[in-house]
Amino acid sequence: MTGVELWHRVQQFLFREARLLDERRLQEWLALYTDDAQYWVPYAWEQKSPKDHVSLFYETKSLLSMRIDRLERELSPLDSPMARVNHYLTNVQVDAVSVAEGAELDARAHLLFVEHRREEQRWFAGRASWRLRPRGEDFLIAAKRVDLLNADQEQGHLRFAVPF
Amino acid sequence: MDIAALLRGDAVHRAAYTDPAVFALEQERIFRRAWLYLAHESEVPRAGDYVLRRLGPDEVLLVRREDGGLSLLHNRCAHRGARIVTEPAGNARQLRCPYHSWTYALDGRLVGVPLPEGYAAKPELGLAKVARVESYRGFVFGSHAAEGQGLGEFLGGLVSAFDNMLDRAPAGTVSRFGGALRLEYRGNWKMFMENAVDLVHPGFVHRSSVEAARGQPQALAADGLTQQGAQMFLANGMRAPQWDEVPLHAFPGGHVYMGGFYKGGVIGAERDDPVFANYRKQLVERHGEEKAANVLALDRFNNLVWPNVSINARFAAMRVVQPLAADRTVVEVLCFRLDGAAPQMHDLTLQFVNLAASPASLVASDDLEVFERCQRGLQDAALDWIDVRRGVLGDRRQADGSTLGSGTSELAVRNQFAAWLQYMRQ
Amino acid sequence: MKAEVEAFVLHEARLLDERRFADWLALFAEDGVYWVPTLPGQASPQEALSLFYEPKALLAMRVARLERPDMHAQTPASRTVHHVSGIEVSGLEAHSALVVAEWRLGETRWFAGRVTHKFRKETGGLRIVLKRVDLIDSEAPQRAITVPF
Repeated sequence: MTGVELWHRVQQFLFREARLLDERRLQEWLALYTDDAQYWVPYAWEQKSPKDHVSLFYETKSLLSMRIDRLERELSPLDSPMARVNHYLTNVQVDAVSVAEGAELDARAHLLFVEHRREEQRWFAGRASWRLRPRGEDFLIAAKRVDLLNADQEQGHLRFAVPF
Repeated sequence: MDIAALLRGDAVHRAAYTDPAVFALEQERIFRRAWLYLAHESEVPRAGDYVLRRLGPDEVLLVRREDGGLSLLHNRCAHRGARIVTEPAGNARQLRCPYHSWTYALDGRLVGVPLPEGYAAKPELGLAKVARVESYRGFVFGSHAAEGQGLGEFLGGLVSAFDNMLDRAPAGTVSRFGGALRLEYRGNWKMFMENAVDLVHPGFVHRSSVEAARGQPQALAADGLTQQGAQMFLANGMRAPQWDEVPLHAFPGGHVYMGGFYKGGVIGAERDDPVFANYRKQLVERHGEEKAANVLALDRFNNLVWPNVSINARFAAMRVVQPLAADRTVVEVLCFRLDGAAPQMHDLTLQFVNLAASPASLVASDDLEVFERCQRGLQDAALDWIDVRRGVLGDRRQADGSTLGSGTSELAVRNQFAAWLQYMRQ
Repeated sequence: MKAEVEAFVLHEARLLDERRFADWLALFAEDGVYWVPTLPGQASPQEALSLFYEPKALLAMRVARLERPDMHAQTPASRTVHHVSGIEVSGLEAHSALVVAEWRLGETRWFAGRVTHKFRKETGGLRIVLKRVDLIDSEAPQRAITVPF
């Protein structure tokens, strides 16, 4: 497999992850994550660690599972109707030209997403990065980090129900 | 505010369309008094079914109770004012507020409060009820006013529109289906009502779709949907004398209906195909030959129940106007199944509505543009008055208090403002 | 094939932005359909109302009108950019994500959606059999919509 083929395969995987969220196939989305996965949306710009500062999301796979469960079972009237989201990934880059046995690889992309909820559209921009664990021809996500441009804004509400 | 000063003979002051204070007064004196279309009973068939709607300025819940009756309640918890329901429709045994779990029965009575001993006085509050809710043969209207005309009296001559739609159903009932299309424009709500029975604008406003259809004669021999579209677009290309022959019939209260203008083809009163032949047979079975012929021959296009709904009985469609601000209006477009008719008939209903009333419609999109141009133009203080005299000499007063006018008359606008003045003055 | 489909989708977007509507129409097969449903996951145009449901012959009238100077809703004409991303190709089917920025009368309006294309390979090249656009706010009120997504 060439570097370009690897890049293309990673890109298609990331597009599929985005599409599962957009199509609200949340259980299938969750299944892309390893059991020891970490999902992190920092609060501070260029935040170094989730351990010494608050974050918008800092979740293990179990916590993500509970989040999805709550959404799907409509246990929260405060989150109904559920928001609809669309993700737009561009500038996908892969930090490897080949995959060694048992190794992980890092990928990055620019992210634009729009959330439609209760007659309002909210647009967000940010940078996403993934640590991917190859599994056969495919991948699993061992870690995902999304740095929103406006993560630490003081005004307006940055409450998200659906993961991105 | 001197409301009467906004009308001067057959001229209307632009403030009637642009002034937020006039809009606020309309909300109080028209939308908190008139009967407003809410929903159809087929949307809440079982006990516990509810739909969330707007009734004028307020958000309300129409609920089917266990005893089969309908309750119309304000969607606002008696405790701290939270919206209880946020989904457009659902079913519940009780209505529970998500904040402190105050629980209400389907008739709005408060039946449960956690920690009741914590509240200083035992709350005897329930959900506020809307003053009146009434159904005309399945079409549910609400009114914030406790007093006033009953629904039947309010509808007056327009009951014939609902009756005709129901007569067109082989099973005698209609039911809501197909979701909704929603249009928005930056303009005053009255423009939509006025335009729905304006028969001079189509030749000009819709010229681009008329000519687009004329330029594609092959469309008339293409698939059924394209044929329908072409015929609908072409119909707007009539000349003034032909439009003049389409009657307008205006009633006290601002209501009005117009005659039809779809003659022949797929959009004609009777069609020449096996689906329609079968449908006609069903109507004859139901009504007998003579009445069936009369039902199908009642040729009207838009029927307006002022201030908030326009019905097209022949196409089983309805448009409900939601004024949001002096310069912002949403129109919801709905349709009905004629119960008992074959599925292909329902398909044609959806096709008509998509073609005529989608925000992307080749026809409606130009109307929305024109409304927005009017609203912008009315900001200009150089000319305060708009003129609605057209056809006034041809208005023919009838013994029953209604007025007949020819199609090119602005009778409907004058009639609307006569009603408007009556509401707004008190 | 994948590269051909991707290139096609991007080219289609460019034709719309360049207002080459007749060329855009020609990308559709004779039995092609352009569909923008109102409901998320809407199974068919018979199930519920649609913002657009247009076989090619009907789409042809839309295109003819778009090219006319007397179309009020496009006087002045909109400027659009169709941002296509996330293209996934599987055989003769493509999924992508779409943002359309539309500028008219001093304001920009944004539409967001997911697009499904189904193609057929014909002698002239790929042709669209179905283009379906699921807008993120398909049930919300919309002002006049003119340029296809």
